[in-house]
Amino acid sequence: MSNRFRVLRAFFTESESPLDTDQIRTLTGSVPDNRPGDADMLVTHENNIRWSGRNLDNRFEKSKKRITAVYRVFSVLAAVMIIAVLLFTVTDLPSFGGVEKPTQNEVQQRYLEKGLEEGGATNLVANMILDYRAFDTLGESNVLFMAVCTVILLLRISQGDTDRRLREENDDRHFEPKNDLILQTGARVLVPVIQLFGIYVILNGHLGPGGGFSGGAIMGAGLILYLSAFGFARTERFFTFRTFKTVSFTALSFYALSKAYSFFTGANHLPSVITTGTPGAILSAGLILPLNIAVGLVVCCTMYAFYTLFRKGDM
Amino acid sequence: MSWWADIPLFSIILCLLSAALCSVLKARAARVTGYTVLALCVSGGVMLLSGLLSAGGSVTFMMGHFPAPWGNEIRFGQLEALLAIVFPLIMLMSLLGGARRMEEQVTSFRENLYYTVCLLLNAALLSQIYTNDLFTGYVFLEIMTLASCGLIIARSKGKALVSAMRYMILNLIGSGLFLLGVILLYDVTGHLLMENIRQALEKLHAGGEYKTGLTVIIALITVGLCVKSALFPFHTWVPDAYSNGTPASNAILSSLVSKGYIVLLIKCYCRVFGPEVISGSGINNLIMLLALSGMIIGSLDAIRTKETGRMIAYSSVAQIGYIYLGVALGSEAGYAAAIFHLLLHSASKSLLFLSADALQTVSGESCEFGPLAGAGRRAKGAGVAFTLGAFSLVGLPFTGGFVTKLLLGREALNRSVPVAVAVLAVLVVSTLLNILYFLRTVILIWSPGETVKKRTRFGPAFGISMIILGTGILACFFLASPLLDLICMGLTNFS
Repeated sequence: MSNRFRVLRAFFTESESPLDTDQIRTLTGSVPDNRPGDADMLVTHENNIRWSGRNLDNRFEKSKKRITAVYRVFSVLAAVMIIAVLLFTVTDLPSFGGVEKPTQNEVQQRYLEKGLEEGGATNLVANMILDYRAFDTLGESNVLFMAVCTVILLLRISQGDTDRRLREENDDRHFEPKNDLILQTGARVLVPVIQLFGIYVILNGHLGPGGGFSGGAIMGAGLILYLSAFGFARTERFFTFRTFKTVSFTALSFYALSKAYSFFTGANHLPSVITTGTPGAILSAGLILPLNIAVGLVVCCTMYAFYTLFRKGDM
Repeated sequence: MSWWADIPLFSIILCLLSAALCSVLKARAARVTGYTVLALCVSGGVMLLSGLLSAGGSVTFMMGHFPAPWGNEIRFGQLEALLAIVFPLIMLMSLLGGARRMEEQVTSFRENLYYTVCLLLNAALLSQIYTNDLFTGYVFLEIMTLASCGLIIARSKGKALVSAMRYMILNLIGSGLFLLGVILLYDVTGHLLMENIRQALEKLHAGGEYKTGLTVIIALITVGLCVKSALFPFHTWVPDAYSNGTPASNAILSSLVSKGYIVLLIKCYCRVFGPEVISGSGINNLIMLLALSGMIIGSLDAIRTKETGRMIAYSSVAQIGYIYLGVALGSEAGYAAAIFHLLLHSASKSLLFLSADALQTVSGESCEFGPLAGAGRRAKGAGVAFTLGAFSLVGLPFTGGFVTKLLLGREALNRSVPVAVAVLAVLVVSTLLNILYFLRTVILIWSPGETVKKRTRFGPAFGISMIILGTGILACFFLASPLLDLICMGLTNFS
C-alpha cells in the first residue's frame, strides 16, 4: 500500500481518534532512513496538526471536545433537517410512474418510437447515451480519465525513487494472500469466463442490455482478480503503465475524433458516411459499437489502474 | 451557418484531444502542447467574438444529428464568446507565470499530467460557458471538481494533500446538491434543455403548481453552486485549498474554477428560472445577506491571518461576495456588474498569487509577512504587479475595482432605502478593510528591508504573464464602458 495513501488514511481517522506525534512518526517514518519525500511528508503532516498556530496537545484537546460536542450535534441536526425538507419535497412531486408525469413528453416519445430508426441500435438506451446525447457521454468518459489522472498524480512513485519503489513492491502483498491455492484455482477458472463475459457485454451493447461502462467494469474486475491471484510478475507481461497510456490515449482520441466528425456533420447538415445499418446485426448502429469498445477500454484500464496505483504506486 | 460557429465545438474537442495526448507525452512536449492549445482557444474566442459582433444575436449549435431537446445543444452569444476568450487567456497566463516552479514542485515525471488536467479543466470551463443543457452542465462540473483537486494534489507536499481532501469533500457535497436540484427540476418539468425548462416553469409558476418543489430546487442548485464557489458561509475550505498548491494551481483555482461555477449559476438564474421565478422565491434576499456578510467576514479573516497566501485566499471570499452581490441585485445592471467583477477578479487574483510567489522567492521562501519587508525593492516587477493587483481589489481609481464598486453602488441606489443603505454601508466598510490588509502588505513590500545580494531572474514567461494580467486590470478601468456595453449586449442575448 502506498505511503501517501497511509497519510491520507491517517487524516481521515484523525477526527475519530486523534493521532499523536509518535503515531504519525510510525505511520510515515516507518522507513529505516529519511528520504526527502518521507521527511517532507512527516514534517508537513505535523504542520497540518499545528495548522492554526496552537501547540499540539492543546489543539487535540480542544478539537476533540469541539468535534464531539458541537460539530456532531450540528451535523446530525443539519442532516435531519435536509432529510425532512427533501422528504417533504418528494410528497409534492408528480407521482412515480404516473401517465400524467411531465417527463412523459415528446422527448422520450421520440427516443422510444424513432430510436431504432434514427440510431440503429435495438438497445434504445445505447441510442440515447451514445447517439442522441453523445456529448454528455463524451464528457462522462473524460470524467473517468480525469479521475485516473488525478490518482496517478497522487500515488505514482517516480522512476528515480528506486528505494521507495522496491519497498512498495515488497510490501504490496502485505494485506493480500501470497500464492493462495484456492484463489489461484478460482481465478484460473473464473478469469477467462469473466473476460469473455465482459467482451460480450461490450460488443452486445447496442443489441441488448450492456455497453461500454458495464462491460469495461466487468473486464477490469477480471484483471484485478487475476492480479490478486498471481501477482504483478504475471500481469506485467501484458499490462504495464505503457499499455495503460497507449490504450487510454487511443480510445479517448478515437472517441473525441469520431464524435467531432459526427457533431460537425450534424450541425452543418453535411452528409455523413456513418450509416445505421440493419438493426439487430452485430455490425450496425453506426458509431455506437466502436464507441462502446472505446468506452469499455477506458473503463477497464481505469479500474485496473486504480487498483494497482493504490497497491504499489505504479502499474 | 457561418464558419465561426464551429469554433466552440473545435475548441472543446481540441482541448479534450490534446489532454489525452499530453498524458503520453514527456513533460517538455506536454508543456508546449498545453500552451499552444490554450493560445489557439484564445484566438478562436477572438474570432468567434468578432463574428458574433458583426452578426448580432446568439447562435444555437446542434451537437450531433438531432435537434434539442432530443440531442445535445450549445448556444453562444457575445457574453459567452468574451468569457471564452478571458478564461483560457487567464489559464495560459497562470501557467506561464507559475512555470518556473513546475520543475521543483510538480517534478518532471508528473508534469505532463498537470497539463492534461489543465486542458481538461479548460474544456470543462468552455463547455460550461457554451452549454444550453443543464445535464451537460453537470457532467462538465464533475470534470471541474476532479480537475481542481488534481491541481492541488500535483504538488507533492503533505499539506497540499490534506487540503485537497477537504476541498474534494466539500466540492462533492456541492455537486451532489446541484445534481439533486437538476433531478427534481427534470421531474417537475420533464426537460433538461434550458429553454424548455424555462417554458415549463413559467406555466407552473403561473398555475402556482409545485410551489415547495420549486423553492427547494432553487435552494439546492444555489447552495450547491455556492458551496463550490466559496460564498460565505461555505468558504472554510478556501484558505487551505488556495494557498497550498503550486502558484499556477492557486491562480487557476481562485481565478477560474470558482468563476466557472458562478457562470453556471448566472446561467441557471437568467436562462433556466427566469427573473419572475427567482424574485418570487426570495432567494435573492438570502444571497444578498450572505454576500454582504462574506464581504465583511472574508476581509476580517484576511486581516487576522499571518501568511500572504492565506491572506490572498481569504480576500477571495470577500471578492466572491461582491460578485454574488451583483447577482443578488437581480437586475440586468446587477448581473453586468457581477460579470464585470468576475472578469476583473480573475485577472487580479491570478496576478496577486503569481507575484506574491515571486516576492516570497526573494524573501527566503517564507510564507509569513515579516520577511517580505522590502521584497518589492528586491524584485521590482513582481512588486509593481502585486501593488497593481492589490489596488485593483481595494478599488482605487484607475483600476477595474473602482468601476465595480461604482456599478454596485449605483445599482443599489435603485433599491428600497434599507437595502441601499445596507449595501452602501457594507461597500464602504469592506473597502476600508481591504485597504487595511492590502495596503499594509503593499507598504511592507516597499519599505526598506534586506538589500539585494544577487538579482533573481524570473524569466520572460513570468514577465509576459505579469504584463498581460496587469494590462487587463488597467483595461478594465480605461475601457470600462465598451466592455460594459459588450457585457450588456451579451446579457440580452444570454437569457
